[in-house]
Amino acid sequence: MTRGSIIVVSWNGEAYLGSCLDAILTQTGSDDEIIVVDNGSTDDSVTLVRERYPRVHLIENGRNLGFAGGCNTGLRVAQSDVLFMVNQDAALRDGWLEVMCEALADHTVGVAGCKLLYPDGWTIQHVGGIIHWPRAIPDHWGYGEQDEGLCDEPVDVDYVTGAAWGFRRDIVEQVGKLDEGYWPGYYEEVDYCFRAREAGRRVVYVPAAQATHVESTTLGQGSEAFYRAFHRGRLRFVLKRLSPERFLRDFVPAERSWLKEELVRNERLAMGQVYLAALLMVPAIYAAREEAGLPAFDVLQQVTEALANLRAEVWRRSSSPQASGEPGERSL
Amino acid sequence: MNEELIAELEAGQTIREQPFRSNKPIVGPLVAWFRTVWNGISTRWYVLPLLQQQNRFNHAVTQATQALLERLDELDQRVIASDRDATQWARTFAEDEYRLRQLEKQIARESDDLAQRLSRLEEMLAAMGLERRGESD
Repeated sequence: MTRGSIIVVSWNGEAYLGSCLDAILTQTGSDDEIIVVDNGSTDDSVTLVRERYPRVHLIENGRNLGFAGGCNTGLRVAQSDVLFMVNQDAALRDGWLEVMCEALADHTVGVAGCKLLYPDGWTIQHVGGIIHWPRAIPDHWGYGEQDEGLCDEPVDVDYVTGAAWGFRRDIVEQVGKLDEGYWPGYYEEVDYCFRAREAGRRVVYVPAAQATHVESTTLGQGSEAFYRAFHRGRLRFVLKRLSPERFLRDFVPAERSWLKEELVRNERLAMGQVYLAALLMVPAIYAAREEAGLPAFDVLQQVTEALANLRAEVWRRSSSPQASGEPGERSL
Repeated sequence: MNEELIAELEAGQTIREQPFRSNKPIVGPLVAWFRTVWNGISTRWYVLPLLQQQNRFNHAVTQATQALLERLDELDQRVIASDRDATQWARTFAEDEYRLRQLEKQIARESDDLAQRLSRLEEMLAAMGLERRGESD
């Protein structure tokens, strides 16, 4: 039996993948399993893994299944009882695997996350996170602060980021795999942590396990694609977690107020598409609410109407010149 | 915003000749008159046609800009209308899909219910058959 399975989902990450795998290999032995799932990279990621890392089990999806889809591919072949997922642009520090295995030996723990630092090795990126409702805005504890020992206590958190995290196999058996509806990425790990906690398991931050992470290299922070993926994930998470009544009563007014603020051009452009995508997600999400009971048809109609109105609000704001990023610039 | 831009273009599109003035006492008007006459003669066949050509060009640019902005506004309105239609279609699609999913679930429930009733019926028939056989024995 292997000690741990480490899954790395790669997508055009040739520039980072080498450092990521080097860091993993320095702390893994023959009783650990390393799996790289390539999501149809068009750079030389696959060649790099094949030629330089013969120990690594390479799976080629041939197309981009998204982060959750890539992880699930890895989970299907992973042999261990303890499963880890590491982003291609993350580099684990010494001892990461051992400390994480220790944390996950506790059966009350479902999911464990680590301390993530920016590549300068000093600035905190993530030490566990909290979700602010009703808009489901994620907040990383300690974000941007210097790592001076203030976040060195293990603690239970709302969620841990999916850049470098792990969970026990029995949680997969209990709550299932990652939701591939969060395509191409963002919020799938938040969703998973909430599902784990709902199933009575703890989500813990393990400060002794540390890694550096570049962040948002796949979609490019601040790009329209980044905002589209981020908010699409957020809307899916909100629709899954909030009852239709709470969605209409709390989320919609809060979201409308936010739309009235000065959003950057790329974010506003993305939001129009996000509300449309959310509108099309609603039937499947609500139909899956077996235990909570299927919402009545007129409730669904109110939700779709609210999403259509939010989309119209984006257009209305986009047509006014002050909505753009630059003074006098046309935003659409 | 468009109106401001057009107003600014219109305000500056015509280049006008500036009248000559002189502040010198007594001879000032004479100096200004002389400069005007001299300028009229010296620029009439070369600078003035250039000035007129520039003015014609400026007017054409203002008109073209105005036409383009109007066209852009019209396109904006059409895009917004199309987008509204697309949203409406998406709503209809989502609502129809939900109805379908509700129906599927209802059919599945009724089908399960029917299967259970059938199974109970079969059990009853089997029991009755056994009883009949028992009676005939």
